[in-house]
Amino acid sequence: MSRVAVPCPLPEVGILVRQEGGGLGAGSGGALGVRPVSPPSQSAPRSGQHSSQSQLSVGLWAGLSGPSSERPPGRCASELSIHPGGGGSPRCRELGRGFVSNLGAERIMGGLKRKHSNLEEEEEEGEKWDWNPAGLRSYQQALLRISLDKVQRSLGPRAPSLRRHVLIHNTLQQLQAAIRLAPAPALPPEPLFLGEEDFSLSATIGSILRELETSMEEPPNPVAPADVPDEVVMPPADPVFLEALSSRYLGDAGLDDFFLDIDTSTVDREPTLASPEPPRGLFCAPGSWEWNELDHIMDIILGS
Amino acid sequence: MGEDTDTRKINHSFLRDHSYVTEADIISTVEFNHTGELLATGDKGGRVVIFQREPESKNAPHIQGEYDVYSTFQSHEPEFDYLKSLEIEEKINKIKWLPQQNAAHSLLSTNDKTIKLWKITERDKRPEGYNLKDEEGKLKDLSTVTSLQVPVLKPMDLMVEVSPRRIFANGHTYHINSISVNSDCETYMSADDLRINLWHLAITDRSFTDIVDIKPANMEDLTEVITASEFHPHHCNLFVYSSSKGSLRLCDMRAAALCDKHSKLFEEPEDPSNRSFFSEIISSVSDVKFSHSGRYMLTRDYLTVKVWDLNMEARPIETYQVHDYLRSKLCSLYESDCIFDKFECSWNGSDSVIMTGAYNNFFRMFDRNTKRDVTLEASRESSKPRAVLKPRRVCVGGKRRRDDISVDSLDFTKKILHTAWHPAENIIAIAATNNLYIFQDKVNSDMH
Repeated sequence: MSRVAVPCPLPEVGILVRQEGGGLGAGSGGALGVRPVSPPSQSAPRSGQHSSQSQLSVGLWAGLSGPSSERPPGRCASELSIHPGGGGSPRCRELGRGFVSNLGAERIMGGLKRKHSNLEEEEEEGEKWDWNPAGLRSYQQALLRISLDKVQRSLGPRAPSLRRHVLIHNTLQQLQAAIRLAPAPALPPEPLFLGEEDFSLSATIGSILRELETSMEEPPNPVAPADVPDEVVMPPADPVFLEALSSRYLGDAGLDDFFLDIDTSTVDREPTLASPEPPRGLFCAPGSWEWNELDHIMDIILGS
Repeated sequence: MGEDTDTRKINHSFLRDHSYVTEADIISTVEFNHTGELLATGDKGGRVVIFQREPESKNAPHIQGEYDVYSTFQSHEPEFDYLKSLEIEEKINKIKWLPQQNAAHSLLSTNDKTIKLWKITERDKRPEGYNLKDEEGKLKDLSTVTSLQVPVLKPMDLMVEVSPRRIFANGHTYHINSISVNSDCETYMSADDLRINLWHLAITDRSFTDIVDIKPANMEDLTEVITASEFHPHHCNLFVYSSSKGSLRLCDMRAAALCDKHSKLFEEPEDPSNRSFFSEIISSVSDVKFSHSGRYMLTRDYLTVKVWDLNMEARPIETYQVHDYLRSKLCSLYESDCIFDKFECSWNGSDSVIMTGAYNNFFRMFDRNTKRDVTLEASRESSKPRAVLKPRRVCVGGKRRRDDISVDSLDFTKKILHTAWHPAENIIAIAATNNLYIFQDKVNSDMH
């Protein structure tokens, strides 16, 4: 067989191949590694015969699975067999968990979508910086919300992807810088409502809001629900933001060695969450829609 | 046996809803071996399935080129790090074949934390005629043994045995994203987000750790991670690694033990007219591949594939738009996390065509010589057996042809992240979620 000569025309054929693994007897959950292709009585197509199990082919001579055949069961038969005793295999359970949390995410995203449903239209006009200040501001705030939501959602039983964290973090920094540079229209700040259970999250968002407020040069929080306590204004320092952001969604998730320099004593993950300082941030009235939204968020974070 | 059938029946109906995909079956990596005879896939469930190409047969010449299942084994299991209360996924991130040195095949497979060397051997003969044991292995009654015989090897049905030969564990704090075997066939490297380790294939209890380490002293200062890395195909001292900021660093291991000072930095200056909040994210390189010749590198970022000449660091020599129509959708793609998808890219055997995946089960090919490109789709519905793949087109408004797909109807859950090209022939393997497609170039199939 000679190598295909250059220049070669672009491949034009496609012959469908379907993966049909494991059907040849991978079901024996035996010792690691030693897996006969099939027991001798069900000889695999080694001697030139092709059993109906072998479903992959290449070229015009596909002749095997037509478009109507189902996804091959063989690959998963052994792994997803229904265990006696109910509950399904660990993978089924895991998948169920994934579904639940996805639904939760959609509820959040639904809320976010409502708030910036015309984002795409704005975006398509060109992501230039010569929008009117209000449009730019709402775009930036929407991006901020999305980014913070990602921060929340990256918590989970698995260590979050460091690449994703770094990219989101860098994007947030750009947003911060842009918000500081952009002119400040007379917009009421839209508070993000938080529960007092999550001190570190409130510190994160609180600090971002303080950045927004200082850049907008407005008195803090003219629009306030009834039980908003007086805010203690913290210096709009990047380290605060980074510290809360980093330690909350990485340090406590177990990657403490990342942030050895950071004092995470204020963000310990005890169930009671006894914080040494009074929680800062904004509170929402129980029963309001923001409270319910928050509930959803907290449910997902706490994995209930 | 009946049990197995029932299980399969259950799974049949379970999967009959086409929108439900068993997460464990999602293919996470695809790799041909050096001859193209074997094709390995890894999935999220930690399994490896190896396909073997059927040899040409005079009796049935039309069957030549089929890939059949050769072996399936469980490579990695889910683990739990009790110290950090974190799950360690069993998903196979990468598979790399070792060059074949004897009758056995070997490959490296890795999840986020542990790399394993697997040896794949065939057994097609077994000894028969033992003196002390009978056919089932039970000891014979010695009084019945009247003469001695020499056991002979008799052919048996082929048995493929896979065994773990080495387990390279505890080498990485962060998630492994690539492995690459050196051309010296003795060493290989593994890269995670912040560090690259060099291992000797025969030694598992230690690695030549940290030939690259980009972890900052203060983690607050972290702004860039390693996204992919690969050894040069011919020069055993050279390797490249890519970053989340879109740069490539070519390093020479002869220069220093710790290759922090790159030999060459490949970076394209940013286009100010395209600047946005997402510029950095979309410039993050998701895959880097040396050409077979070793003269070029291929990189994939979110919207483009680029060809770099090793002798020119200032900018790529070629840039191909994979799906530029997504540029105006970056915000929603950021929202849905699609913007973080890591697409791979591949060279063909002669380095004249490059291929990469996209959304809606589309994949793209670019001919470097003719500058033609094509979009093809890997799906059951659009491909009948023996049919020629029809080129697809995404329309972005304006006049729309009959079979065009509009940008807004693209299915972003159907992404082709993993593709592989046969090292010598025009055969490609495409992983579309949990399905593997293998396509062959009909035009050239007779040319060998």
